[in-house]
Amino acid sequence: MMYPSEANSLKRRLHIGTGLLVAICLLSNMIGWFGQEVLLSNFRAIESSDQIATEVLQVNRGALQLKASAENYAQTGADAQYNTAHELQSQLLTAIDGLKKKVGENDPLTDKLDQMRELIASFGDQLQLASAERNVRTDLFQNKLLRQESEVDDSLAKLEKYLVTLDENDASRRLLVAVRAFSTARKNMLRYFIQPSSDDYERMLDSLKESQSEVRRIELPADDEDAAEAKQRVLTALANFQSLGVRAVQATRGYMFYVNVVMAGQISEFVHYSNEIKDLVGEQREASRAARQWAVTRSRVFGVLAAALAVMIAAILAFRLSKVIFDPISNLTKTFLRLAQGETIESIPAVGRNDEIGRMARAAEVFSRKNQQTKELLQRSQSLSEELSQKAVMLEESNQELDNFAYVASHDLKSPLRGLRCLAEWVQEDCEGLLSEDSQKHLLQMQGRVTKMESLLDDLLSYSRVGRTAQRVEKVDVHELVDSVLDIMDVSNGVQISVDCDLPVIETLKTPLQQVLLNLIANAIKYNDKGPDGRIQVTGNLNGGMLEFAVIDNGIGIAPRFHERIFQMYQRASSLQVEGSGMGLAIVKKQIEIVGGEIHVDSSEGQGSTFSFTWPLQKSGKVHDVNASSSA
Amino acid sequence: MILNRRQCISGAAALGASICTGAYAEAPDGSDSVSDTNDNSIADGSSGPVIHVKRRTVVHVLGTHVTLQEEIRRRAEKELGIRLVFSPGGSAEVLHRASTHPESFDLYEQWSNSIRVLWQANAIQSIDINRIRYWDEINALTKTGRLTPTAKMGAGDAPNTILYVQPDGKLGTQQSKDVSFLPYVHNVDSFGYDPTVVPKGVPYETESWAWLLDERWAGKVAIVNEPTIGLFDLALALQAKGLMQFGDIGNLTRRELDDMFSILVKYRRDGHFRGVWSSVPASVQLMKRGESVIESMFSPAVYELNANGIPCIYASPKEGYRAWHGVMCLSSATTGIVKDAAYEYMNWWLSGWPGAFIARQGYYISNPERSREELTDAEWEYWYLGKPAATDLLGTSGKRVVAKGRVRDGGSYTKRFSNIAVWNTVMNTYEYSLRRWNEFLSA
Repeated sequence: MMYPSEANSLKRRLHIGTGLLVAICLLSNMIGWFGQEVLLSNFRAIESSDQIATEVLQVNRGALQLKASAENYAQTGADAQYNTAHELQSQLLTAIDGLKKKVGENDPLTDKLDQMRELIASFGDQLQLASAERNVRTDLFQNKLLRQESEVDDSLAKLEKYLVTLDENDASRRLLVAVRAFSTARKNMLRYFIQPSSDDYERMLDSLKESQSEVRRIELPADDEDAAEAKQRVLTALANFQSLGVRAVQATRGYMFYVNVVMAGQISEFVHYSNEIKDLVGEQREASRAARQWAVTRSRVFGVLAAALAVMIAAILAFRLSKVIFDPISNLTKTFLRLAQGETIESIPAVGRNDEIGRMARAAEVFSRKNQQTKELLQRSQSLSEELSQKAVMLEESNQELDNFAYVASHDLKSPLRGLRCLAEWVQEDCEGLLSEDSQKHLLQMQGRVTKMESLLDDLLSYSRVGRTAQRVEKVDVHELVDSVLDIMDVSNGVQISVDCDLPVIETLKTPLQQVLLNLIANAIKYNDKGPDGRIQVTGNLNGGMLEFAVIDNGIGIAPRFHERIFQMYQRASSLQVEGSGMGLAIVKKQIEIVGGEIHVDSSEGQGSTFSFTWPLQKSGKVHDVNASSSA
Repeated sequence: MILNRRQCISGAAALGASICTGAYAEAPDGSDSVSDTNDNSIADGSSGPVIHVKRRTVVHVLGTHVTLQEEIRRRAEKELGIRLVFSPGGSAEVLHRASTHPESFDLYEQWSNSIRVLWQANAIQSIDINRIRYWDEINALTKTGRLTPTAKMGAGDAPNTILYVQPDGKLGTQQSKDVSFLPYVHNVDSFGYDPTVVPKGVPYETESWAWLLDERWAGKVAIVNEPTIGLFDLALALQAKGLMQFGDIGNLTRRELDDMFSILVKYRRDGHFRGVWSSVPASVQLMKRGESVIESMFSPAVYELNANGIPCIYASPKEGYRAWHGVMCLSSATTGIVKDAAYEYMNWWLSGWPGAFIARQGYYISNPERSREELTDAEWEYWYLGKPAATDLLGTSGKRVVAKGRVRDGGSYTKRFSNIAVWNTVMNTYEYSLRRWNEFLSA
């Protein structure tokens, strides 16, 4: 027998199918879980980006405030603005450091925050330098230059005083030019500081040089050391004034450069980065929102797809299982039903499969083959039955012919025998004295044998008449019938007969029943060797549609080996010298079977016998209408 | 300053088993002394022997990273036996420091646009050309403003206009034995652009300053944050684009500045400019990070980008370059042996090796022939003659900065310096331009 391989078995397929469905369920759950995780992650990212965005906005606001403060400081030079700017710068650096900690190293924000931090850190230095320049300028302009201006004025006044005493017109004229030039220089310097311009600066320098030049050209008496000293004082004062003026101008230029170029450049850069950071955070927030939306959509789509996939796979699996299992099983069921109805099927479905269904199909194939064999057997049986029936008919016809023959023979032979016996009697009567003893003895033997022959023929005739004589159904009181039988019995041996019948009046063939009971009771009497201790019990019961009779005796019994034989014609089992032809039980059996009953014997040698038979309430069996032949 | 290991070992060897614990001490006359003492002398400085191993004159050099490079310092110290203290800083910072505190430096190295400021401030003293060993080798560019007689004369403060000390004490073109600065490093600048974004142009034909205002590169344009430089880039761009015409682009009037910045502020507000940069590394980063695709640029930045595999073309605008001339100035406060040492350092700069060194960064020296011996033929031909590089060329950092076969943007020294549109200049409207510059930045 072929067994399905593990790989192709339905069990494995069912396991795989179930596994697939479970896997799909798990997958769906995992997709759902993953989608939720993504959503949660997005929510966390959004929360984080919101927090970062808030801080970025604060940084951006701080950067703009720093820009405003620095610009205000550039405009006003107010210390308050400078301090505010410094404070803002410090706060910004702290805020940026805090922000950097919250932003991952790989985040593009980090790079921009680094750039911004570097700019703001150096911006503080530039602010400090600008402030220093402004302080230098202020100190120079408001203090040192004023003092130096006074020094120049004093020195000029002193020199003028000397010149007046010397009465040097040319020198006085030059001093006057120098004073005017210095005045012009001061005016230009003042203009420069009010509104810085290189032209004013150069004019200031030119005027100072002119002033110095004129002073140098003042000729003084060689021996007047005081005058020379006064002149030198003027020159020194002018040189110092120029030096301070140049430094003040450079401080102004430096301050302007720091403020207008360096600081403004850095402000523009860190504001740029600040705005970029703000925009980037905004984009990240938008991206987070979009990612969240996308995650929601994706989660939904995946969920729907997973469900659709699960349904599709489940449908495919169901379809496949239906195709692979249920349809073949259904077909096989139909096949088995057909087989159960005895059909034979040429082609069993799924017989080629190498799985459990294949095994069932092959089992069905076996059934089919058995059915085929059964069918053939039935056909053969039917054929045999028909043959048997034919034989039975032939046998019955043969028996009938035999019965007819027996009947005819016994009937037709009786008359010659009777004639023969009469002749023998006549010969004996006529020749009683004439004949030798042997001849008389032979004659007597001949008469005896003729009588025997007649008796045999009578029994044979009785046997053959059974069922041949038309019988009428009549009401029979069974008890009376038994009593009538007992009445005619010769109970000379003293056997005690009891009747235990509680039977209703029935409608049946009276004569055959009477003859059966008569024969059985007669046999029980005849074969009872107990004398007065002999007991015969006749019982009768109604069981369904049958009367059940039994004739029970405690006679000699019959060995079981003769139980069949005693119902055959001319067969006797007893060794007792009891008169009889051996036809009684054969006739009984025939009478009972003719009406549809059955007879059994239960006996053993020396243990008595029980003959029980059934007798239908309604006559059944075959009763031959032999009126024609019996009357012939 | 702590002794280096070699000095320590040599000192220790001289003293046998003594332990080196020396330290620098600057002498009152401006020189350094290095003293080694044995371990017994540490606790009591007067108890142990003091051996003066070496006395070196200290020269403080104030300038920018362009020339104040460590390799130059080490080489000069080694060859001159002096000690150099470099104080590099931003151009404005060092100018300001130099102009107000001349005692804080001995030599000042920057661009020629510093000269007027420093000279007017008496922060620097004149240099005697008789003490400049290779003065005669200095080419015509510095002395006449033209490298060749046919070269275009750039507007603004050409070096010859501020080189010579005039009899009236001012600076002018009339030759004299006193000069305001030592001519040495110089170059022409323009803008660099990323050829992967900006279509490559034809030098001197299609490449134009107008590209800086091309709307296609809006948001990706950067300018150097220095009005005496970046302002000219923008002025050249406006003029090249036909938006303005200047009377003298080297000396803009207030009116011109007003008109110019009214246009530029609009550009700025429209987001045309990414921003400004204040140092060469910042300009490199802007292009490296993709924040700009076209920007004012200095030569080292271009080579730095190329060395890092980032394509960048240094444009040769058809309108001409913005040129600059390096100046080495002597502080008005420097005297004595320090001044002598400063002269030695100035002479060393023109001695050949420094010129070759800075040539590898794309700069030119005023007496190039002397540097030729320090350069390979391939280097000379590429850097000065504008010929294709015969081999890969290395920069001063040792990285390859020029691939074999490449031709220098703009061609030869002569060709580049024959196309000067304007020199970096401190204009008379300098202070005014600062305010307008601020408005531009703040827009």
